[in-house]
Amino acid sequence: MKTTLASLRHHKTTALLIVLEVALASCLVVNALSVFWSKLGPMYWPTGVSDPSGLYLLRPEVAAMSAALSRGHAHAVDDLDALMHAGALAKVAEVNTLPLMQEQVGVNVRPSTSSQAGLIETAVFAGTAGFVDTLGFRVIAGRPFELADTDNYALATGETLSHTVMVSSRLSQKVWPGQDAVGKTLVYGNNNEYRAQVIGVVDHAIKPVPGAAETSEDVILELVRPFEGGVYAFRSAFPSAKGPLAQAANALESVAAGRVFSMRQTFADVHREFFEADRSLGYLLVFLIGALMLVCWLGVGALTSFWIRQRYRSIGIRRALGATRRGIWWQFTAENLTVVTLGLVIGLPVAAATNGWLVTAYAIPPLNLVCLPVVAVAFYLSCLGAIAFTVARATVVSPMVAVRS
Amino acid sequence: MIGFGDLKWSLKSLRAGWVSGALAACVLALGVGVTITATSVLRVLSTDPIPGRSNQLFYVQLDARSNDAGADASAPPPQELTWIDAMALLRGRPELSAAMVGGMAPVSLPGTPGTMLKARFTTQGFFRLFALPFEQGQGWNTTSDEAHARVAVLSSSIAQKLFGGDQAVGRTILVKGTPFIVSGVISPWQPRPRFYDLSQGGFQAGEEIFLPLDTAVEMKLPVVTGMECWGNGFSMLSNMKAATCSWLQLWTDLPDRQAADGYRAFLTGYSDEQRRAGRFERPTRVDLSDVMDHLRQAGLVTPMVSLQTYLAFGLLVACVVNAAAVLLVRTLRRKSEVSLRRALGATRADIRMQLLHESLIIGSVAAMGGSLFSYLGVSVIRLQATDYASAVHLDWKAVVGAWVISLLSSALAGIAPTWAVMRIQPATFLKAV
Repeated sequence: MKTTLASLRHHKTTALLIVLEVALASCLVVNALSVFWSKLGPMYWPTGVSDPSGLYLLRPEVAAMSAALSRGHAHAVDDLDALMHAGALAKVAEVNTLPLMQEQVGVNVRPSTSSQAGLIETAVFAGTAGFVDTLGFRVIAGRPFELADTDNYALATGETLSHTVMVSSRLSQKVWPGQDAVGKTLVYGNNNEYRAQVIGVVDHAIKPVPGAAETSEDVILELVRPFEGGVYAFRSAFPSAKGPLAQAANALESVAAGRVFSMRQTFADVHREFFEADRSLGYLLVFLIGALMLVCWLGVGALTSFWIRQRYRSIGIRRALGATRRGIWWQFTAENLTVVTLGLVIGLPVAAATNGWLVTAYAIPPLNLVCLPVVAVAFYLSCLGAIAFTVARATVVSPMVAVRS
Repeated sequence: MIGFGDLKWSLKSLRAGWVSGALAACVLALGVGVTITATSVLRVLSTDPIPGRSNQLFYVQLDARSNDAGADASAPPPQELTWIDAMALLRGRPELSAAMVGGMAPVSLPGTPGTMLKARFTTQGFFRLFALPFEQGQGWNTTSDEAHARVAVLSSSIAQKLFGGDQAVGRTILVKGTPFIVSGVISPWQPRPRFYDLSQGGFQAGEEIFLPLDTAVEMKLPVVTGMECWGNGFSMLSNMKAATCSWLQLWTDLPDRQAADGYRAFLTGYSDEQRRAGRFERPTRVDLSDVMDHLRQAGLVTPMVSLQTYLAFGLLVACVVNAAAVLLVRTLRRKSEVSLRRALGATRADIRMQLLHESLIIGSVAAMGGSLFSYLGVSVIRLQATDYASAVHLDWKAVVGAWVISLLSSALAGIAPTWAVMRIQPATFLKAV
């Protein structure tokens, strides 16, 4: 330790530069990594939709062209009928919205345990007969919807649900912790004025606008009659030559001509589009983290190599006086570790402080504390890697160097 | 003075230790490239889209919501206005304001299948307010607005598509089957960000057809807007003139600060009056923002864009420190060479000049490399799926920026080695030669 400190004192500029470089790089890498982590997580949340690339979606523009569209919901009935008889299509339904589709309606629900507790903001998936099965939500308790559960689509006015609903298992645990939700009465509305009976529970179902992880699955499902302005969702019975989307579009065209579709994709596309911006940012962050680590690695390598080569004579003397190779190796490794530690001791707290400031000023996600040890270990390994070759060469310096010149 | 002799020494010494020199230049180039790329994105998001007029065009917002609308009282007012408010405010200064909304219009020529065009439904003030360049003809007038006239203004690309090279003004097109007369054709016009309607983001493609707002509403053409409804607004969408929904943008032209203050006072008065009449329920909340304020409030520069800019500048600083380290090592290795030159009569100033020249040469190489890196960076940004991607580009300012940053950072990186060399006592190192 004494030798380490003495040598650091002798090479102040060099040591200072390494410390500075490690501090700067680690501070930035911690922040970049923390944001990267927070963006990566939601991409792997289960949406509840099974086989995403097999779920096809078509949404005709409502007030698009022909006068036929003024027939309102009768039109949706014809559309669904046409889709069901389009041949290769199986499981056809109309839904108001889909997970990650960014169009959300919902009601506020109050937990049963306390009337004082905060309202839970839910998202409501309203669909026509068979929509739960079409989307692929898994019913884990209670019974599936039956025709008798159908109610009018009342959500357009932002008001009431059907008399019978399904809830997600997450919502059921929030409203009735530790109990079976099936058969319970759901109280909702800003003033607790409405009631609905829970008939079933689905496993996963993510909101159209998920938000934070804790509230991303507060979802209610209800069965409604066909309505205007929804999304037609369907799966293909077997792969058809023309593609199910083209086939379905043709079937709808035969109901009313001149359709314009504002949505014509699979659910996998919806999922991809939702995370597009995050994915771009992710690539950028990975690049920046890589560049920072590389620059730091180069700098530490160059400085250490110089620093050690300058001292070949003193190494020779130490070797001549009986120092082992292992001793020499340890001397320089310890020096390096000390300098890197100093850098991290400055860099990591500054990173935490910077993050705190970014959280308040720019509402970026708060620091994931796991990032601190991960970054520390990464910097130790990278710096040890940067000096490995130079140190190895130093250990084989011959004691004869000491007596030369 | 930069003497020829000094430069010769610098070039010679750079040749001698070219690996470390190149390494320093590469590292700086990386930092510069990333910084220029990030600032290019930032600049696209915060450029003045309508220079010269941006400080006299104002966007109007009022809080017309009812108390049950959910949002708390401190929340900003809705992005748009209701039909009733937009029309009341428009009536006060029809020549100097424009109400507008984005939408879709099925357009065809008689006897041909139609296509959906991206439309803007607006009032006659629009064309003068935003100084739209007309290729042929002109916009329409107040009378046309009031009479729900069937007139249309086309973009030049659509006019070209429909009529080829022929004169388009005076010709007839069908909008949802109804004949409209083309009154004008505008030259390509695409302010970026598209400040006048940010409801669909700042970088949507421009409109292909402009129609009078009253006419479009009467024909129930579909609108695309950041609609917000309260009360029983959703159930009234079939009658958008009465619905308690905000869906219209209103811009107005106020030549100076005094006029803006006066208009703000007028808006407050209007809002108070509406509340007394029972139409508005919430405390009076009036927002009157000029173009740049409106862009700022819309938050085009997202937290993530700010974050990536900070990180890019952080990387630049790390690169400067790194280049300083590499140059330091390089200089200290040549202590004996420097000592020799000093012994042969070079002054400290000579040595300092030599090192400065070396820094400048490295800086120039870094600037060229940095420009190349930022070209790559911008190309990658343009491939991304963000809406501003296609608007990001390199211009002369970015290249000048690359040179300035490179030269500054290489000079900065040169400080440590210069300082170290200046402390050399020639005698000490001459021994080793």
